[in-house]
Amino acid sequence: MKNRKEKQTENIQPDCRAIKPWLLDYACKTGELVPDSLTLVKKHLASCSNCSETAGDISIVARILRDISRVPDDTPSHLSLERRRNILLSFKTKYN
Amino acid sequence: MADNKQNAPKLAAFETIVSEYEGVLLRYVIRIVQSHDTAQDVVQDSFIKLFKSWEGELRPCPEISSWLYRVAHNCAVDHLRKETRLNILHKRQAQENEEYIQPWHGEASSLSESAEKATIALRKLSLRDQQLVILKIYEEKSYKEISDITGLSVSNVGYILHYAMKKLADELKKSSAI
Repeated sequence: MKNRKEKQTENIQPDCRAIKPWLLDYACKTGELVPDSLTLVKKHLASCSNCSETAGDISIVARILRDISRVPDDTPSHLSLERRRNILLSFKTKYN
Repeated sequence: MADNKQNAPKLAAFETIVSEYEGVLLRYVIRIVQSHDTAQDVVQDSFIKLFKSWEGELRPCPEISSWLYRVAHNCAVDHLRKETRLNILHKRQAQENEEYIQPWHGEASSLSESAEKATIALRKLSLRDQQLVILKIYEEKSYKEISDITGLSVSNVGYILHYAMKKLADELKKSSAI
């Protein structure tokens, strides 16, 4: 006997609007989609060429953005001493 | 002497918080303001605001992380608005002083044509859309974390990201980059 969730998955065909918030996660495989939602998205994409194309486009855009997202070595990972001193001064004003 | 002993835990908390978040915030803000020096100011101001207004325990936690991202973003946007009002004068001066960072930090020449076009398309998005794309694609935040940072509902985050990514794809298609 199938449980209620499985029945819902079978019966509900989400329209394009309903799956939009999930499409990025599906396309980029970020792992946020719970299995039920993943099933719904897959089902919808199998029957909707528009959303399927959009998912492909989003995946390509995400890949391009990630390729250019590498922060170069010269990006400082620490605040300058002067800024750190300024923060400390403000911190001491409150906590001392 | 007694004062020093009393203050030691507070100073340790200060060091822990700053060390934990300074790097990620600098990276995040640099993507928005495109200037190392401005990013340093924005992150400095964000920490000052945190220590002035935070009433809870000072230790790294998701609440402080979201708070800092939110305040840093608002400070960065304020900076960009001021910059716009000054009619990009500041940027020109910075460029002359070699402080201004070309898109993606002077590596533009090594980028593919698609990457350059994507960079330009990203900068054309609204600041809110850029923020969400940066948080999701670059900072790899979950929808829930982005919701905590921006104050938007989780489903709104999903919709906005969807339309932002679609806009980028359409823009790149228009320019034959994809």
